[in-house]
Amino acid sequence: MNLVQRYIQAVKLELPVAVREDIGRELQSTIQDELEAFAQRNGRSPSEAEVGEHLKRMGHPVRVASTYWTRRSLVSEAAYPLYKQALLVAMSVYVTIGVLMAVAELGQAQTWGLLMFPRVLYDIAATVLFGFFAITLVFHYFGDQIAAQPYFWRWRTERLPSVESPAAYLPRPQTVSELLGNVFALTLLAVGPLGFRAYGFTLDFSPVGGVLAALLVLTLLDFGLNLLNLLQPYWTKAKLIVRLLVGLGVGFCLVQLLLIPQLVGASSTLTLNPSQLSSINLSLKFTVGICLAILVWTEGRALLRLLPLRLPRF
Amino acid sequence: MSSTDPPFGNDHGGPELNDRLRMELRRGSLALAVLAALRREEYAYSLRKKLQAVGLDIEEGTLYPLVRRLEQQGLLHSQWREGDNRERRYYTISALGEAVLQVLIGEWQTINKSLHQLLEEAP
Repeated sequence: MNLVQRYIQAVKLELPVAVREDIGRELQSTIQDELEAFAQRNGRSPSEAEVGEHLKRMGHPVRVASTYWTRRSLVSEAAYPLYKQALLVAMSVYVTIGVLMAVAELGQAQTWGLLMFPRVLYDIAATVLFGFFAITLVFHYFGDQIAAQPYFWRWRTERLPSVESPAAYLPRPQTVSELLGNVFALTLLAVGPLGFRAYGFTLDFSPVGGVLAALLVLTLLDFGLNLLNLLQPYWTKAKLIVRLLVGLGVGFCLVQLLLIPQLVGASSTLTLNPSQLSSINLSLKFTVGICLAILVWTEGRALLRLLPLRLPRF
Repeated sequence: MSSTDPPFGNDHGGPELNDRLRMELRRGSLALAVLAALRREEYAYSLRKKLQAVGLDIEEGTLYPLVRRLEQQGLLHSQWREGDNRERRYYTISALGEAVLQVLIGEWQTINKSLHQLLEEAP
Protein backbone atom coordinates (compact mmCIF):
# COMPACT_ATOMS: atom_id res chain seq x y z
CA MET A 1 0.00 0.00 0.00
CA ASN A 2 2.99 2.23 0.35
CA LEU A 3 2.93 2.92 -3.39
CA VAL A 4 -0.74 3.91 -3.24
CA GLN A 5 -0.11 6.30 -0.36
CA ARG A 6 2.78 7.87 -2.21
CA TYR A 7 0.70 8.20 -5.36
CA ILE A 8 -2.22 9.83 -3.55
CA GLN A 9 0.12 12.18 -1.73
CA ALA A 10 1.67 13.19 -5.06
CA VAL A 11 -1.77 13.88 -6.55
CA LYS A 12 -2.87 15.85 -3.48
CA LEU A 13 0.14 18.13 -3.71
CA GLU A 14 -1.11 19.35 -7.10
CA LEU A 15 -4.68 20.02 -5.95
CA PRO A 16 -6.23 23.19 -4.49
CA VAL A 17 -5.92 23.14 -0.69
CA ALA A 18 -9.68 23.42 -0.18
CA VAL A 19 -10.44 20.07 -1.88
CA ARG A 20 -7.13 18.30 -1.38
CA GLU A 21 -8.12 16.02 1.52
CA ASP A 22 -11.56 15.25 0.10
CA ILE A 23 -10.29 14.22 -3.34
CA GLY A 24 -7.40 12.30 -1.78
CA ARG A 25 -9.81 10.37 0.42
CA GLU A 26 -12.06 9.50 -2.51
CA LEU A 27 -9.12 8.57 -4.72
CA GLN A 28 -7.88 6.20 -2.04
CA SER A 29 -11.30 4.62 -1.79
CA THR A 30 -11.59 4.06 -5.55
CA ILE A 31 -8.04 2.69 -5.89
CA GLN A 32 -8.81 0.31 -3.06
CA ASP A 33 -11.96 -0.77 -4.90
CA GLU A 34 -9.97 -1.39 -8.07
CA LEU A 35 -7.37 -3.46 -6.19
CA GLU A 36 -10.06 -5.47 -4.40
CA ALA A 37 -11.70 -6.21 -7.75
CA PHE A 38 -8.32 -7.42 -9.00
CA ALA A 39 -7.98 -9.70 -5.97
CA GLN A 40 -11.46 -11.12 -6.61
CA ARG A 41 -10.74 -11.81 -10.29
CA ASN A 42 -7.35 -13.45 -9.66
CA GLY A 43 -7.92 -15.08 -6.27
CA ARG A 44 -4.95 -13.25 -4.77
CA SER A 45 -3.86 -9.78 -3.76
CA PRO A 46 -1.96 -7.79 -6.38
CA SER A 47 1.82 -7.74 -6.09
CA GLU A 48 3.62 -4.45 -5.61
CA ALA A 49 4.61 -4.47 -9.29
CA GLU A 50 0.96 -4.95 -10.29
CA VAL A 51 -0.13 -2.11 -8.01
CA GLY A 52 2.54 0.07 -9.60
CA GLU A 53 1.32 -0.91 -13.05
CA HIS A 54 -2.25 -0.01 -12.13
CA LEU A 55 -1.17 3.40 -10.82
CA LYS A 56 0.88 3.99 -13.93
CA ARG A 57 -2.17 3.25 -16.05
CA MET A 58 -4.13 5.83 -14.06
CA GLY A 59 -1.64 8.46 -15.19
CA HIS A 60 1.01 10.80 -13.83
CA PRO A 61 -0.14 12.43 -10.55
CA VAL A 62 0.07 15.89 -12.13
CA ARG A 63 -2.20 14.82 -14.98
CA VAL A 64 -4.65 13.12 -12.63
CA ALA A 65 -4.77 16.25 -10.46
CA SER A 66 -5.27 18.43 -13.54
CA THR A 67 -8.53 16.62 -14.37
CA TYR A 68 -10.02 17.96 -11.12
CA TRP A 69 -9.20 21.56 -11.98
CA THR A 70 -11.87 23.48 -13.81
CA ARG A 71 -10.65 24.77 -17.14
CA ARG A 72 -9.54 28.37 -16.88
CA SER A 73 -8.85 30.97 -19.51
CA LEU A 74 -7.65 34.53 -19.16
CA VAL A 75 -10.08 35.86 -21.75
CA SER A 76 -13.46 34.31 -22.54
CA GLU A 77 -14.26 33.09 -26.05
CA ALA A 78 -16.95 35.76 -26.47
CA ALA A 79 -14.49 38.57 -25.74
CA TYR A 80 -11.53 37.10 -27.63
CA PRO A 81 -11.97 38.78 -31.06
CA LEU A 82 -12.29 42.19 -29.37
CA TYR A 83 -9.34 41.41 -27.12
CA LYS A 84 -7.22 40.58 -30.17
CA GLN A 85 -8.15 43.85 -31.88
CA ALA A 86 -7.57 45.90 -28.73
CA LEU A 87 -4.22 44.17 -28.26
CA LEU A 88 -3.15 44.96 -31.80
CA VAL A 89 -3.90 48.68 -31.48
CA ALA A 90 -2.56 48.94 -27.92
CA MET A 91 0.62 47.07 -28.77
CA SER A 92 1.29 49.40 -31.69
CA VAL A 93 0.85 52.41 -29.41
CA TYR A 94 3.04 50.84 -26.72
CA VAL A 95 5.80 49.86 -29.16
CA THR A 96 5.79 53.39 -30.58
CA ILE A 97 5.91 54.95 -27.11
CA GLY A 98 8.57 52.46 -25.99
CA VAL A 99 10.80 53.14 -28.97
CA LEU A 100 10.38 56.93 -28.77
CA MET A 101 11.23 56.84 -25.08
CA ALA A 102 14.25 54.70 -25.84
CA VAL A 103 15.41 57.11 -28.54
CA ALA A 104 14.99 60.01 -26.10
CA GLU A 105 16.98 58.09 -23.51
CA LEU A 106 19.74 57.41 -26.01
CA GLY A 107 19.79 61.10 -26.91
CA GLN A 108 20.25 62.13 -23.28
CA ALA A 109 22.95 59.56 -22.57
CA GLN A 110 26.29 61.05 -21.63
CA THR A 111 28.29 57.97 -22.43
CA TRP A 112 27.78 55.32 -25.10
CA GLY A 113 28.72 51.83 -24.08
CA LEU A 114 28.16 48.28 -25.27
CA LEU A 115 25.44 47.72 -22.64
CA MET A 116 23.44 50.74 -23.80
CA PHE A 117 21.49 49.02 -26.58
CA PRO A 118 20.55 45.81 -24.72
CA ARG A 119 19.22 48.05 -21.94
CA VAL A 120 17.21 50.09 -24.41
CA LEU A 121 15.80 46.89 -25.96
CA TYR A 122 14.94 45.65 -22.47
CA ASP A 123 13.09 48.94 -21.75
CA ILE A 124 11.08 48.58 -24.97
CA ALA A 125 10.23 44.95 -24.13
CA ALA A 126 9.21 45.95 -20.58
CA THR A 127 6.91 48.72 -21.88
CA VAL A 128 5.30 46.34 -24.38
CA LEU A 129 4.87 43.62 -21.75
CA PHE A 130 3.25 46.10 -19.41
CA GLY A 131 0.78 47.01 -22.19
CA PHE A 132 0.04 43.35 -22.85
CA PHE A 133 -0.53 42.79 -19.15
CA ALA A 134 -2.82 45.83 -18.81
CA ILE A 135 -5.03 44.91 -21.79
CA THR A 136 -5.23 41.25 -20.72
CA LEU A 137 -6.15 42.29 -17.18
CA VAL A 138 -8.98 44.54 -18.41
CA PHE A 139 -10.37 41.80 -20.66
CA HIS A 140 -9.95 39.17 -17.95
CA TYR A 141 -12.22 41.07 -15.59
CA PHE A 142 -14.47 43.05 -17.96
CA GLY A 143 -14.24 41.14 -21.27
CA ASP A 144 -17.72 39.63 -21.02
CA GLN A 145 -19.29 42.99 -20.15
CA ILE A 146 -17.47 44.62 -23.08
CA ALA A 147 -18.62 41.87 -25.47
CA ALA A 148 -22.20 42.25 -24.21
CA GLN A 149 -22.39 45.99 -25.04
CA PRO A 150 -25.54 47.06 -26.92
CA TYR A 151 -23.34 48.06 -29.88
CA PHE A 152 -22.93 44.40 -30.74
CA TRP A 153 -26.68 43.82 -30.82
CA ARG A 154 -27.70 46.94 -32.76
CA TRP A 155 -25.53 46.43 -35.81
CA ARG A 156 -26.99 46.53 -39.32
CA THR A 157 -25.94 44.32 -42.19
CA GLU A 158 -26.04 47.19 -44.73
CA ARG A 159 -23.37 49.07 -42.77
CA LEU A 160 -20.84 46.27 -43.09
CA PRO A 161 -17.97 47.08 -45.50
CA SER A 162 -18.69 46.13 -49.11
CA VAL A 163 -16.00 43.88 -50.52
CA GLU A 164 -15.89 41.60 -53.51
CA SER A 165 -13.78 39.02 -51.73
CA PRO A 166 -14.50 38.75 -48.01
CA ALA A 167 -11.09 37.27 -47.26
CA ALA A 168 -9.43 40.43 -48.62
CA TYR A 169 -11.00 42.55 -45.89
CA LEU A 170 -8.45 44.56 -43.94
CA PRO A 171 -9.34 44.97 -40.27
CA ARG A 172 -9.09 48.66 -39.33
CA PRO A 173 -7.11 47.99 -36.11
CA GLN A 174 -4.43 46.39 -38.29
CA THR A 175 -4.34 49.46 -40.52
CA VAL A 176 -4.16 51.74 -37.46
CA SER A 177 -1.18 49.76 -36.17
CA GLU A 178 0.53 50.09 -39.55
CA LEU A 179 -0.16 53.84 -39.58
CA LEU A 180 1.48 54.13 -36.17
CA GLY A 181 4.45 52.22 -37.55
CA ASN A 182 4.63 54.72 -40.44
CA VAL A 183 4.52 57.69 -38.05
CA PHE A 184 7.31 56.15 -36.01
CA ALA A 185 9.44 55.45 -39.09
CA LEU A 186 8.87 58.99 -40.42
CA THR A 187 9.87 60.48 -37.05
CA LEU A 188 12.98 58.35 -36.95
CA LEU A 189 13.97 59.17 -40.52
CA ALA A 190 13.37 62.90 -40.09
CA VAL A 191 14.70 63.41 -36.57
CA GLY A 192 17.17 60.52 -36.20
CA PRO A 193 20.00 61.92 -38.38
CA LEU A 194 19.62 65.38 -36.76
CA GLY A 195 19.83 63.79 -33.31
CA PHE A 196 22.96 61.84 -34.21
CA ARG A 197 24.60 64.98 -35.60
CA ALA A 198 23.57 67.03 -32.55
CA TYR A 199 25.44 64.57 -30.33
CA GLY A 200 28.61 64.78 -32.37
CA PHE A 201 28.22 61.77 -34.67
CA THR A 202 28.90 61.99 -38.36
CA LEU A 203 26.72 60.28 -40.95
CA ASP A 204 28.21 59.47 -44.30
CA PHE A 205 25.82 57.65 -46.61
CA SER A 206 27.60 58.75 -49.76
CA PRO A 207 28.29 55.13 -50.82
CA VAL A 208 24.53 54.55 -51.18
CA GLY A 209 23.39 57.97 -52.34
CA GLY A 210 20.00 59.22 -51.22
CA VAL A 211 18.95 56.10 -49.34
CA LEU A 212 17.44 58.08 -46.46
CA ALA A 213 15.49 60.31 -48.84
CA ALA A 214 14.25 57.22 -50.69
CA LEU A 215 13.16 55.62 -47.42
CA LEU A 216 11.33 58.84 -46.48
CA VAL A 217 9.45 58.91 -49.79
CA LEU A 218 8.58 55.20 -49.60
CA THR A 219 7.34 55.55 -46.02
CA LEU A 220 5.19 58.53 -47.05
CA LEU A 221 3.75 56.40 -49.87
CA ASP A 222 2.99 53.60 -47.45
CA PHE A 223 1.43 56.10 -45.07
CA GLY A 224 -0.86 57.30 -47.88
CA LEU A 225 -1.77 53.74 -48.78
CA ASN A 226 -2.64 52.99 -45.17
CA LEU A 227 -4.80 56.11 -44.98
CA LEU A 228 -6.64 54.86 -48.06
CA ASN A 229 -7.00 51.44 -46.43
CA LEU A 230 -8.58 53.12 -43.46
CA LEU A 231 -11.26 54.57 -45.72
CA GLN A 232 -11.61 51.52 -47.98
CA PRO A 233 -10.69 48.56 -45.77
CA TYR A 234 -10.00 45.92 -48.42
CA TRP A 235 -7.26 45.01 -50.84
CA THR A 236 -7.44 45.70 -54.54
CA LYS A 237 -4.87 44.59 -57.10
CA ALA A 238 -3.62 48.17 -57.52
CA LYS A 239 -3.17 48.63 -53.78
CA LEU A 240 -1.46 45.28 -53.50
CA ILE A 241 0.97 46.12 -56.30
CA VAL A 242 1.80 49.48 -54.70
CA ARG A 243 2.28 47.80 -51.32
CA LEU A 244 4.59 45.16 -52.75
CA LEU A 245 6.63 47.75 -54.69
CA VAL A 246 6.96 49.89 -51.56
CA GLY A 247 7.98 46.81 -49.59
CA LEU A 248 10.59 45.87 -52.19
CA GLY A 249 11.91 49.44 -52.25
CA VAL A 250 12.20 49.61 -48.47
CA GLY A 251 13.87 46.20 -48.45
CA PHE A 252 16.38 47.35 -51.08
CA CYS A 253 17.20 50.49 -49.05
CA LEU A 254 17.66 48.51 -45.85
CA VAL A 255 20.01 46.08 -47.57
CA GLN A 256 22.01 49.08 -48.86
CA LEU A 257 22.26 50.41 -45.30
CA LEU A 258 23.50 47.02 -44.12
CA LEU A 259 26.21 47.05 -46.78
CA ILE A 260 27.72 50.38 -45.64
CA PRO A 261 30.86 49.52 -43.61
CA GLN A 262 30.18 52.21 -41.01
CA LEU A 263 26.78 53.86 -40.51
CA VAL A 264 27.95 56.53 -38.06
CA GLY A 265 31.35 58.01 -37.28
CA ALA A 266 32.55 60.29 -34.49
CA SER A 267 33.37 63.97 -35.04
CA SER A 268 36.29 65.62 -33.28
CA THR A 269 33.97 66.87 -30.49
CA LEU A 270 32.96 63.34 -29.51
CA THR A 271 35.40 61.28 -27.48
CA LEU A 272 34.79 57.66 -28.36
CA ASN A 273 37.33 54.89 -28.65
CA PRO A 274 37.15 52.65 -31.76
CA SER A 275 35.55 49.71 -29.91
CA GLN A 276 32.72 51.93 -28.60
CA LEU A 277 32.09 53.28 -32.08
CA SER A 278 32.16 49.79 -33.53
CA SER A 279 29.61 48.54 -30.93
CA ILE A 280 27.28 51.46 -31.78
CA ASN A 281 27.54 50.63 -35.49
CA LEU A 282 26.96 46.96 -34.78
CA SER A 283 23.83 47.78 -32.75
CA LEU A 284 22.51 50.06 -35.49
CA LYS A 285 23.06 47.36 -38.10
CA PHE A 286 21.38 44.85 -35.85
CA THR A 287 18.36 47.19 -35.65
CA VAL A 288 18.30 47.58 -39.44
CA GLY A 289 18.51 43.78 -39.72
CA ILE A 290 15.51 43.38 -37.41
CA CYS A 291 13.54 45.90 -39.54
CA LEU A 292 14.46 43.91 -42.65
CA ALA A 293 13.38 40.62 -41.05
CA ILE A 294 10.05 42.16 -39.98
CA LEU A 295 9.56 43.51 -43.51
CA VAL A 296 10.25 40.11 -45.11
CA TRP A 297 7.86 38.48 -42.64
CA THR A 298 4.97 40.94 -43.14
CA GLU A 299 5.32 41.18 -46.92
CA GLY A 300 5.68 37.40 -47.25
CA ARG A 301 2.63 36.83 -45.09
CA ALA A 302 0.61 39.37 -47.07
CA LEU A 303 1.64 37.72 -50.33
CA LEU A 304 0.78 34.22 -49.13
CA ARG A 305 -2.61 35.38 -47.93
CA LEU A 306 -3.50 37.51 -50.89
CA LEU A 307 -2.09 35.87 -53.98
CA PRO A 308 -4.65 33.04 -54.12
CA LEU A 309 -7.55 35.52 -53.83
CA ARG A 310 -9.55 36.96 -56.65
CA LEU A 311 -9.15 40.64 -55.94
CA PRO A 312 -11.06 43.58 -57.38
CA ARG A 313 -8.87 45.30 -60.00
CA PHE A 314 -9.10 48.90 -58.75
CA MET B 1 -7.13 1.30 -44.87
CA SER B 2 -8.51 -1.83 -43.23
CA SER B 3 -12.09 -2.15 -42.02
CA THR B 4 -10.92 -1.74 -38.41
CA ASP B 5 -9.13 1.55 -39.05
CA PRO B 6 -10.74 4.76 -37.83
CA PRO B 7 -12.92 6.38 -40.46
CA PHE B 8 -10.64 9.42 -40.85
CA GLY B 9 -7.45 8.93 -42.80
CA ASN B 10 -4.42 11.21 -42.59
CA ASP B 11 -5.83 13.36 -45.39
CA HIS B 12 -8.61 14.40 -43.03
CA GLY B 13 -6.54 15.30 -39.99
CA GLY B 14 -5.38 11.87 -38.87
CA PRO B 15 -6.07 9.82 -35.76
CA GLU B 16 -5.65 12.82 -33.46
CA LEU B 17 -8.60 14.57 -35.04
CA ASN B 18 -10.49 11.32 -34.97
CA ASP B 19 -9.88 10.96 -31.22
CA ARG B 20 -10.72 14.59 -30.53
CA LEU B 21 -14.02 14.41 -32.36
CA ARG B 22 -14.90 11.15 -30.60
CA MET B 23 -14.07 12.76 -27.26
CA GLU B 24 -16.20 15.80 -28.02
CA LEU B 25 -19.09 13.60 -29.09
CA ARG B 26 -18.83 11.53 -25.92
CA ARG B 27 -18.23 14.43 -23.53
CA GLY B 28 -21.63 15.95 -24.09
CA SER B 29 -23.44 12.70 -23.53
CA LEU B 30 -21.46 11.53 -20.48
CA ALA B 31 -23.22 13.89 -18.08
CA LEU B 32 -26.53 12.48 -19.28
CA ALA B 33 -25.29 8.90 -18.79
CA VAL B 34 -23.97 9.64 -15.29
CA LEU B 35 -27.15 11.39 -14.18
CA ALA B 36 -29.26 8.53 -15.51
CA ALA B 37 -27.05 5.92 -13.85
CA LEU B 38 -27.21 7.73 -10.51
CA ARG B 39 -30.96 7.51 -10.21
CA ARG B 40 -29.83 4.58 -8.07
CA GLU B 41 -27.19 5.28 -5.45
CA GLU B 42 -23.65 4.25 -6.42
CA TYR B 43 -20.08 4.89 -5.31
CA ALA B 44 -17.44 5.96 -7.84
CA TYR B 45 -16.09 2.51 -8.68
CA SER B 46 -19.50 0.84 -8.83
CA LEU B 47 -20.73 3.63 -11.09
CA ARG B 48 -17.85 3.00 -13.44
CA LYS B 49 -18.63 -0.73 -13.51
CA LYS B 50 -22.30 -0.01 -14.08
CA LEU B 51 -21.52 2.19 -17.08
CA GLN B 52 -19.00 -0.37 -18.36
CA ALA B 53 -21.67 -3.07 -18.18
CA VAL B 54 -23.82 -1.13 -20.66
CA GLY B 55 -20.90 -0.49 -23.01
CA LEU B 56 -19.76 2.93 -21.74
CA ASP B 57 -16.14 2.38 -20.79
CA ILE B 58 -15.07 5.68 -19.28
CA GLU B 59 -11.58 6.29 -17.91
CA GLU B 60 -11.23 7.06 -14.21
CA GLY B 61 -9.60 10.38 -15.10
CA THR B 62 -12.73 11.43 -16.95
CA LEU B 63 -15.48 9.91 -14.86
CA TYR B 64 -14.48 10.78 -11.30
CA PRO B 65 -13.83 14.49 -11.91
CA LEU B 66 -17.08 14.67 -13.90
CA VAL B 67 -19.04 13.22 -10.97
CA ARG B 68 -17.48 15.77 -8.65
CA ARG B 69 -18.33 18.62 -11.02
CA LEU B 70 -21.95 17.48 -11.26
CA GLU B 71 -22.09 17.41 -7.50
CA GLN B 72 -20.65 20.93 -7.25
CA GLN B 73 -23.34 22.09 -9.66
CA GLY B 74 -25.97 20.69 -7.31
CA LEU B 75 -27.08 17.93 -9.68
CA LEU B 76 -25.92 15.14 -7.36
CA HIS B 77 -25.94 14.51 -3.62
CA SER B 78 -23.13 12.65 -1.94
CA GLN B 79 -22.35 11.24 1.47
CA TRP B 80 -19.55 9.24 3.03
CA ARG B 81 -20.79 5.96 4.49
CA GLU B 82 -19.37 2.80 5.92
CA GLY B 83 -19.77 -0.22 3.62
CA ASP B 84 -17.83 -3.54 3.52
CA ASN B 85 -15.79 -2.42 6.53
CA ARG B 86 -14.59 0.79 4.95
CA GLU B 87 -15.72 4.23 3.94
CA ARG B 88 -17.04 5.05 0.51
CA ARG B 89 -18.61 8.11 -0.95
CA TYR B 90 -22.09 7.37 -2.29
CA TYR B 91 -23.66 9.52 -4.98
CA THR B 92 -27.29 9.92 -5.98
CA ILE B 93 -29.17 12.32 -8.22
CA SER B 94 -30.68 15.44 -6.60
CA ALA B 95 -34.09 17.00 -7.35
CA LEU B 96 -32.38 19.61 -9.51
CA GLY B 97 -30.40 16.83 -11.20
CA GLU B 98 -33.63 14.96 -11.96
CA ALA B 99 -35.15 18.07 -13.56
CA VAL B 100 -32.00 18.67 -15.63
CA LEU B 101 -31.95 15.00 -16.61
CA GLN B 102 -35.48 15.28 -18.04
CA VAL B 103 -34.42 18.28 -20.14
CA LEU B 104 -31.29 16.45 -21.33
CA ILE B 105 -33.29 13.34 -22.21
CA GLY B 106 -35.67 15.44 -24.32
CA GLU B 107 -32.73 17.10 -26.06
CA TRP B 108 -30.99 13.78 -26.58
CA GLN B 109 -34.08 12.25 -28.15
CA THR B 110 -34.48 15.18 -30.53
CA ILE B 111 -30.83 15.00 -31.60
CA ASN B 112 -31.00 11.23 -31.88
CA LYS B 113 -34.09 11.40 -34.08
CA SER B 114 -32.60 14.08 -36.34
CA LEU B 115 -29.29 12.26 -36.65
CA HIS B 116 -31.08 9.02 -37.37
CA GLN B 117 -32.91 10.67 -40.26
CA LEU B 118 -29.73 12.23 -41.62
CA LEU B 119 -27.77 8.99 -41.36
CA GLU B 120 -30.52 7.05 -43.11
CA GLU B 121 -30.44 9.57 -45.95
CA ALA B 122 -26.67 9.22 -46.30
CA PRO B 123 -25.55 7.26 -49.39
